[in-house]
Amino acid sequence: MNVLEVERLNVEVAVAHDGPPTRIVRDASFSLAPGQRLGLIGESGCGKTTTLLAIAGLLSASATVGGRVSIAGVDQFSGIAGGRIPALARRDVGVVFQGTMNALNPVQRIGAQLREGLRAEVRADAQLARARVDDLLERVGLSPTLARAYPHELSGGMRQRACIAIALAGEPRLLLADEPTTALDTLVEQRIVALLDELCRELQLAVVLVSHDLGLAAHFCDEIAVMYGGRIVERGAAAEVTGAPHHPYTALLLAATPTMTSTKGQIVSIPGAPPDLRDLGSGCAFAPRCPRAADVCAARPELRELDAVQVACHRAVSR
Amino acid sequence: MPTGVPYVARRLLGAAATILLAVTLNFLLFRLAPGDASDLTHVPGASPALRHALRHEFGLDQSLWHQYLAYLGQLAHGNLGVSFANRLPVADNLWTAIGQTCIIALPGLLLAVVIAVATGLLSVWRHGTAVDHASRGTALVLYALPAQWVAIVLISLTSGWLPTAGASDPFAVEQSGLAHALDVAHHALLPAVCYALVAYGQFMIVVRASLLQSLSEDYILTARAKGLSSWQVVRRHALRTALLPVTTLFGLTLGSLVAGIVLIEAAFSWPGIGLAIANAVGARDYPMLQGAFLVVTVVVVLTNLAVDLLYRALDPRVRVSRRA
Repeated sequence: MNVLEVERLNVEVAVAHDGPPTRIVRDASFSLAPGQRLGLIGESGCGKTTTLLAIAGLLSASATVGGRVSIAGVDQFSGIAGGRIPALARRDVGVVFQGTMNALNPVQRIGAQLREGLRAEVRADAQLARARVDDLLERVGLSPTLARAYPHELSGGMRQRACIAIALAGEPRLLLADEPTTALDTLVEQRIVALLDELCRELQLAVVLVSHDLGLAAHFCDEIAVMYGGRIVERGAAAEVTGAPHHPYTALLLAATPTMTSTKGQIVSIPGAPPDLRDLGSGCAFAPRCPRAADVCAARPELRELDAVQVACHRAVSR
Repeated sequence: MPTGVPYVARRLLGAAATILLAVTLNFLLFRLAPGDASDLTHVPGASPALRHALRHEFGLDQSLWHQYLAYLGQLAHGNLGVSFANRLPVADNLWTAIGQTCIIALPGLLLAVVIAVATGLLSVWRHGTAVDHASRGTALVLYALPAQWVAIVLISLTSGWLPTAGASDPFAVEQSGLAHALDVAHHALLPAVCYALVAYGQFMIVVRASLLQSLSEDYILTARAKGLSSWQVVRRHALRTALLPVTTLFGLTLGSLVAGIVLIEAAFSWPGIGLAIANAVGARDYPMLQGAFLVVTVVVVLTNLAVDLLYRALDPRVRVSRRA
């Protein structure tokens, strides 16, 4: 059974108080088996974090969600109900946020913040809870003595580790990670990624990783979904998508990604800016910035199978 | 910052220095005002000989420096002097007055803060709705209203069924302790409510704003992701950080709330420190005024000291940055 099934997920958010709702996520569909990892990538404002929050049931009350999200076989909401995930099912989901910023409560000790995330039956037994908190801290490579510490007493990398421990506290089967290594230096980032990798393998966690770092996603995930203008425009095995991109946007993202070993001097940037989600028009959202745009792009492309991937582009050709 | 002297000791020294400065200013302020207690306006028809005798009795014929040193010396012994008006020791007068003020000010402040937190929560829970606008509007109006006006409106609204003047029934004789306490509580009701109304507005506005602020922080999302209920998220994560600015505000506004207490006690003829100040100003009763101002200063300085120390207990980030 799949741990996560997302079917035609749509998210609308009313930005202004009584303004018309803006559709942030459009018809996103994917599913994950236990242990499988999906990377959601794209520029800022393409809807990846909103997709993640919708799955986690953490959207604000001004958002409406449509489609179907099922976690461990439990439907989270049906139809256009501004659905909050029922508490029981939410225990199957752990969320890792960007820990370097403000993801930890500044006035609460790390141990207390971890304890809150434990399952109710574990929390009820003080001795068991303490042992579990120590265990969680050790698992993420932190000393159990840090349970008494406050977030500001930890370094950025340690805080990110604490965030991962919190996400694991409820013994989830699905891990949602939102830019878990942004704002960390490269060495710390590598260690955090290695830690996540090890933990997810050990616990057989399904993972959705949101990142704008294609290299990281390609390295960490089995599958990659590239989002643009709220839609998934290309999806497939990580090696396929990053090795031989079919969508021009994916190709440009790759060209814009610097690598440690690259010898081709110049990094190419994608001209223009991400689209205004309030006014997307009826054609392909990427057409205005696309070097391969043609007349046919005035009609919106649907995701179609091409070689081993799915791609939403009229101009994509088989290789 | 020297690391040898502990933070608490430094704050205590600072508080003591502030109080000494205030004592000096208090002393000078009244001496610099024209006229003195033996003026014809206060002792009508006094002969020059009588005025001279009065000035000598109260030490007003000595040099300013002498008067200051004598004042400090007496102060060090806990002697605040004798009231010009009723010839009783100022310390005794003030002690009684402070007790009376506490009867209305403490429940009033407590009521204000409790209602401010409750309505602040309500406002945030119903953020952007009519409930929010109404409760924020009410708070703003109450904040803007002058204390004496609120007092007068309360008096006119409730006259006849609630006592509006004094601290107890002057005609009650041989009351038992309980009956007296109930009588005082009955009399204290209106002034306390008036004080609460005047203090409420700014607390509510700050509670609401800082709650909205802390609810938008990332750690609220972390807390929600743990599966905590909305109320648990607010109580354990948002409220604690949101109450930090309220603590600060409490210390900061105490001074202006003292100004409010003068007006409110005058309006309700409540025999507290506010009424004592109002009366002493009229009678140019230096020792009483100096004593009252000293007490107010000490209360404000000590409250701010307590707030600073409390802040350290509430916010672990302060502890480290002060130590560093």
